[in-house]
Amino acid sequence: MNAVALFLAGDGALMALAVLAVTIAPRPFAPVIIYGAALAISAALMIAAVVHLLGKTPIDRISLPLGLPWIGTRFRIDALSAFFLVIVNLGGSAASLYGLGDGGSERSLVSACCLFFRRSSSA
Amino acid sequence: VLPFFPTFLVGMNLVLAADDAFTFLMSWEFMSIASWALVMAHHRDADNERVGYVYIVMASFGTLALLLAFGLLGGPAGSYAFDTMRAATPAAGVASLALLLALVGAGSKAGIAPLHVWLPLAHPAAPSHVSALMSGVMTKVAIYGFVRIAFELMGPTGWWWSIPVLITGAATALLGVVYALMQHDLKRLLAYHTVENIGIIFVGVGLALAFRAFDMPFAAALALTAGLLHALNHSLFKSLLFLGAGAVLSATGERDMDHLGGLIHPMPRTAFAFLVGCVAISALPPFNGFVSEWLTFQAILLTPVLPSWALKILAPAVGALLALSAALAAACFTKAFGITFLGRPRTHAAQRARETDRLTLAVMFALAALCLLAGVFPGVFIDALAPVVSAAVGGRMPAQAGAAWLSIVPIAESRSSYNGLLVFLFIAISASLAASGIHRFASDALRRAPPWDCGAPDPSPVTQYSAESFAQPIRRVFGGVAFIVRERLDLPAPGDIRPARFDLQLSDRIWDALYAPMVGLVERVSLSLNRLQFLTIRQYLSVVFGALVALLVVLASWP
Repeated sequence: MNAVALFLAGDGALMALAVLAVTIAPRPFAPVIIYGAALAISAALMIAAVVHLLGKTPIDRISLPLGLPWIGTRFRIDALSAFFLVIVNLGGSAASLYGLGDGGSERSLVSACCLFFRRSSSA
Repeated sequence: VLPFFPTFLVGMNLVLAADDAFTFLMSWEFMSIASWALVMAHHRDADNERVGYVYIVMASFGTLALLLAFGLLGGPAGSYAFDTMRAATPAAGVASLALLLALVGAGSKAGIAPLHVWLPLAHPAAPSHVSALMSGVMTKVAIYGFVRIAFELMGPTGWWWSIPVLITGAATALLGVVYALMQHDLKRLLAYHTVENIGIIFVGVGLALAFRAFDMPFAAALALTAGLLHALNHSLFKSLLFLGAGAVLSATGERDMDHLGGLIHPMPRTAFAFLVGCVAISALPPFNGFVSEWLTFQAILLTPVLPSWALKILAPAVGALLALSAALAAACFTKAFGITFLGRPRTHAAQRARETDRLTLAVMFALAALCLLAGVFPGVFIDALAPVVSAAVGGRMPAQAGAAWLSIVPIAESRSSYNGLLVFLFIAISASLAASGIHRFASDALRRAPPWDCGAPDPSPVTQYSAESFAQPIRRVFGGVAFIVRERLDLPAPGDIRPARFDLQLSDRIWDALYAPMVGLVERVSLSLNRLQFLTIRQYLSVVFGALVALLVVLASWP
């Protein structure tokens, strides 16, 4: 599988997780599911980035027919991207694991979504 | 928090994979907005609304600068694909302006001075794992943006481009650590310290630009490796420290170090992991922070061979500032650990603290282990960076895998080398021998006695050395660099039994000199424009007619 496709699939899964989080956020089990899945996806993406970096894999590209009509949406993974993808997904894994633990005690705070409702209702 | 956490991760991943300016900027904004929403998670706190406002304004300003940079690189044809930009060679003036805009755009997200003002507000305001992501990871995405533009999209660069990067990096490093030293909020101290580390990374990147311009690929590879390795190292120890601060916050509900103290007793494992992070960020061997800063200094030591006198004079000054900031960083983290974990608990919250949960400990120990591994076996990480560096500067550091005893050799063995494993073994063996010797020949009996002060029992733990006390000598010397300091001492006359009062006010010099006048100007302009909504219909028609005539005159007289 093309490395870019793999990363885009991971990003798609994280985006689906965000949508799921909106629907299940008030449930007590929501943090376990969201942070647990984010941990799994970030860890998988980190491993893929390490493999790409150490394996000296050639540059992978993908172009999707989205965005500006005359160039589309282009993605590319080279060594520089792979190195920073390791940093991002390592940090993402660590933060997700922390969210699964006591760090989730901050989860009880009202979600930022409510900010908009509070603002619009007071306006 | 929950919906925005994965969204934030998506934004950062997409920025790194983007291969055209449109996708890059869209992903960049996605990352900024998701992180803004996470910063606003505690929006019921009155201060956080202002924090969120400052953050979103600065994030938009950074995106605007990047948009203009890509616009200049894309040229009149509007070729926003990175491949087209790589193939083109922009004129020197256009490229210089684009580099400056990239430095402002990416630098404002990374936290370079004087664009750092949002960072120490926003990073601590978020939940701790988000603070770790913002400080440890998002700032690296900004570094990526700058490296991608400066080393790849702009083509060959002039040597003078390195000068603003080096000056900004060195100034950022020093200001960041001076700001950090003055803080008594643990998370804000860590956020300010991110500013310092971003400065160190920019110094490495700036040196690489200078060496590359003079066609010195091996020296450029050393400097860029140092910068990128420090980016990785900083992401490790800063995440560890923010998660440690989060564990303290969860256990005590306190971020103010002057309300903590003595936490090493109820939270020994957290204290140990936090101590590892403190040692690593203070650039002490055998941890990873030392390796990347040592490599940066090795790159600075190569600058005398540069043909430019400006750089020959500037580089040692940059090195001196880095050395000073490294020493101040050690003082800063001695304070952070000492005031938070040592001494006696200053409040009931600190007294009632309990050790954090196993998952939090697991992630902190994993990060601490990575800090040690990257410090003891840095050669593995340097070799892994070789393809990244060679694509950017056309050269790489010597392969470290074959070096004797797992040493790292930046240039040649006769010149300098470092062996993290030997340093680690020496420290471990000598510390073990010293500990066993002390336990063998000294008494094992432990006696705890009530504290006393000036020969009398000390009734309050508040009289302990505080974060402010620790920073006072350094504030006296360096505080004026970053802050406007106002001290007021109210000392009653002899016989007057009023308590003496000491008031200290610190205000950010950059905020006062740069941002406050801008805010004032915008406010004045907004208030004067506000009158426009209270005009009569005749006045509105007159304004529209006047504007139409003025535009037609401009159009007619346009050459």
